[in-house]
Amino acid sequence: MNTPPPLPKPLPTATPEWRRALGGIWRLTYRRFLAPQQLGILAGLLGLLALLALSGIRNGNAEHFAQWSVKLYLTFVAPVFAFLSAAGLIQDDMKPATVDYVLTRPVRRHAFVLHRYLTHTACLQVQCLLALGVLVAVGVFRHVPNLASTVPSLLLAQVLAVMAFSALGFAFGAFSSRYQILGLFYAGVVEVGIGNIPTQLNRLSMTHHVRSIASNILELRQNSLASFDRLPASIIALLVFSLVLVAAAAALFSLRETAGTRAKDA
Amino acid sequence: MNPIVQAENLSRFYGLYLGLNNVTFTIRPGITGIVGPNGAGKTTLFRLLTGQIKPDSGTLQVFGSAPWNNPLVQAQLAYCPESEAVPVGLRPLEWLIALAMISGHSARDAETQARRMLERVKLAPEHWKKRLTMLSKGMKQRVKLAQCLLHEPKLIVLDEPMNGLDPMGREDFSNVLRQLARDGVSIVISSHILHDLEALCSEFILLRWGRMVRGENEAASPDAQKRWPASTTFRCDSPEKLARFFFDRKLVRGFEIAGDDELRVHWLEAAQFYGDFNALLLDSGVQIYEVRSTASFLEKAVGAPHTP
Repeated sequence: MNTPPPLPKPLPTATPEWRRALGGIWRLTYRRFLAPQQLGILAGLLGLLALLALSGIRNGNAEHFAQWSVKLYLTFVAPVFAFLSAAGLIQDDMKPATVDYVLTRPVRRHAFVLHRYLTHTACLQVQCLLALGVLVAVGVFRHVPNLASTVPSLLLAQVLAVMAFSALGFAFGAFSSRYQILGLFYAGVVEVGIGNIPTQLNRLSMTHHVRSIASNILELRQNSLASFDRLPASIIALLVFSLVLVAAAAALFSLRETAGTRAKDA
Repeated sequence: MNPIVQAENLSRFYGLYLGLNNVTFTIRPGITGIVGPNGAGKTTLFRLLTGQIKPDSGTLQVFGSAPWNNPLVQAQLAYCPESEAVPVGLRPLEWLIALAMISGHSARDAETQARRMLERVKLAPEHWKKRLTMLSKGMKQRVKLAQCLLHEPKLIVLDEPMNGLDPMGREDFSNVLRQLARDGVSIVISSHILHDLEALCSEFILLRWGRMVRGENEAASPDAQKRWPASTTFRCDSPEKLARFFFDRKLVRGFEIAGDDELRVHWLEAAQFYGDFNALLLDSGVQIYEVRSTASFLEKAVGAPHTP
């Protein structure tokens, strides 16, 4: 074999511009949500939520509305929806199909994950806002008193829940293609198990903090300041959880190669 | 010419499965064909070149740097995967704008560039706003090529880009690639359509079972670098008469008669024959049953026994 001639010096190249990359990834992400199939699924889920709320919320009972919204919607429906959506997205991004077009462009993988998280979470927030709108509409229909004063607390809790559980979905999705099993395990051990133990350990549960935020604000509305000091702590805890989980997802995604690169692809 | 890609003892395995096994090669500027049967390691090589997977051993340099997870290298190359998968819900123009922005264009420049590239690959404007999933295979291939050109890369890696294209589409596609090569863009391309590849490429890398069939890059013959096959096989009622006819017109470099009805002609200037082959065959007065391109050096090389 002849010795190959020396390579030329690396050519000067354009430095990737993160704001433009974010804009491009935003366009790719939100269009995905506007696909007819996605819109159909969303419409179906919103209809199902409306039916559940209509059958579960009694007429004229504010406390019952608040409890139902927190226990079923904020700590189950919204987190599961955010988790599955985010984990499915990052799994798709690790398959060598459409993401080939993005990952062969000059954007660092961790930056791609961060941009993807930001844009995907923004889209999810809009979808969940629609779901909250359905809940409020059901509340109006059921003549729930003081509904307007309940909404801000639910909204804040929802925004943080979607952020945190999307980040969890990203981390689990980047870790394994069996993210559903991991999610069930996590839900059983941390959210249902540790989260309900009446010790400091329950602060590891994200739904505990979501419940805490919603309940605290509801209590404040009822002029009870007893648990006000826990409110900022819960907000900060969820933000920290989100940050750590997105960082973990970015690290995993950067280290891993695109999935599906098996011998049959050779 | 200095190489743009240099690989030494490059290997990549997928667990027990072989991807690429200890290959050494260089790719110089121009159009280089990667040839081999399914499972030969072509896609593995492309994924290594584009920095999507890491080598298990050996070194790979693209424009002087390792490509794995390296935006500085990726800014200079573009990749068109074999997969037909395209984003759901997006239209060609929207998709290209988003990708151009990821490559570093502003939103306005991205749109201008996307339109230019769709025109360059000759996708009619009425298809620009249809959903990508609604486009035909050939149209998708054009859009996939357009996305490669958005950031004006110096190296384009094309994995089976001619799949699904009709002959005219393949010719159009080849002309776009030739123009790109004239503009100084290097191209690495794989295809199972060997005649097209031979007419397009100046050099080849032959792979089989993850190894290089030949130790050096194969260079196509000067005839093969043009668009016409260098040799043609005729089945006819009188091979001797047909051979004499071509010989009298100074069209042939040589010929072989095989059996009672087969003539293999090696053209002096293939374009002269193919430019007017209908009239020539009629004038010959010979009854022609079949005209086909004789197996090219590339076909022979691909079909040859493995000589590591």
